[in-house]
Amino acid sequence: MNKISSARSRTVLAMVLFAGSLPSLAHHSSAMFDMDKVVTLNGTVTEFQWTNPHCFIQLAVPRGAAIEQWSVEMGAPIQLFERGWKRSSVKPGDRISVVIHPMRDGSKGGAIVSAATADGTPIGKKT
Amino acid sequence: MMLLVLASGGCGHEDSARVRTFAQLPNWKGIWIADDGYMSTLGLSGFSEQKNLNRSLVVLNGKAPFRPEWAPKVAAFRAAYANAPGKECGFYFPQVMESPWMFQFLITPEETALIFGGREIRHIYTDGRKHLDEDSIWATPWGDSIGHWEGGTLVVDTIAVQPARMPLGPLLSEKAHFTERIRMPAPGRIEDQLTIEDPVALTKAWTVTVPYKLTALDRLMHGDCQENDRNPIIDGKLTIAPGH
Repeated sequence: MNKISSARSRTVLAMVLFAGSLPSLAHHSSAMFDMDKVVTLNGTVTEFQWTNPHCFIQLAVPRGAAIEQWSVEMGAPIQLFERGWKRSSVKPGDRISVVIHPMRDGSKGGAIVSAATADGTPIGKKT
Repeated sequence: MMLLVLASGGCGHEDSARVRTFAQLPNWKGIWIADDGYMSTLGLSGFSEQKNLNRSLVVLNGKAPFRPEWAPKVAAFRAAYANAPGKECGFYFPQVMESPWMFQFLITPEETALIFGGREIRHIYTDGRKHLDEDSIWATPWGDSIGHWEGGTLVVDTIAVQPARMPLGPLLSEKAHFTERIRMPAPGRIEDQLTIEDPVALTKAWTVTVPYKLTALDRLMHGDCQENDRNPIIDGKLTIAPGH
């Protein structure tokens, strides 16, 4: 239920060299994200912000008796739309699984890698 | 009525020539995006993020032949940005040609305009004009671009570019001279072969090719930097502001 797992990903030397300086998104660099790590969050959507310069999924993630509030950063609406996302792809109350590159500072946030419904169906996949 | 006839007669030949020229120009309609693996970090279910990271991430961040005396500036430039990252509402040239912004070509005989999703327009003048003289030109983020067509290839000459603030590409001097050969090698594909000459920063000309793919979008919807900026810089570090 409150599964939070992490795993080291394979990363090429170029990524190690430049991860701190490449703007992974249009608006800022990826320096705050640990692009060498992925974390899977299972939780309930509290808000989907379809906004510029970045969309965000606000996710309530149960952890023990507590509920953690995570902010999952995404690309701009047009960039997501081109990839198959819609502003209605996720809604408050939806139970979803999100894979992220977490914040380096340990705060409850990260850059999205992928998202899926509770039954594992990819969200935002171009059909 | 007479005025109409005079106007028509006066411009007819020129208009006909322009129409013929127009008809010979390529059709690059649609919305394009750099196809270099860089866009993988925007979130796409069913897309192999990690697999994509194993590609050359950014063409313009490849190994440029920097002069020995310039290389320390490049290292300092990258280190400074990594240690104190900032935010940008736009991209400098040539980085904009490999940015996440989608764009469309607007091709006319006199000019090709690249209209970017960040509400920016790159003007490439193809009417035969020259670059302005030194007293009338100054370095800007995108410089001054003039071009001409060689068959289906748009050849672009750009000068007077300010050094970039984001290390998405090589750190160059204001003496850099850029030559692009933009063409459509196959349907749905565009490529920009970019050659950079910079007597201050580079030991020799450096050529890279940025690929683009046609998106399925039928229109460009523009972005904005300030609508919901949740990335304050606190103590010199980028952060994500908590949700509501």
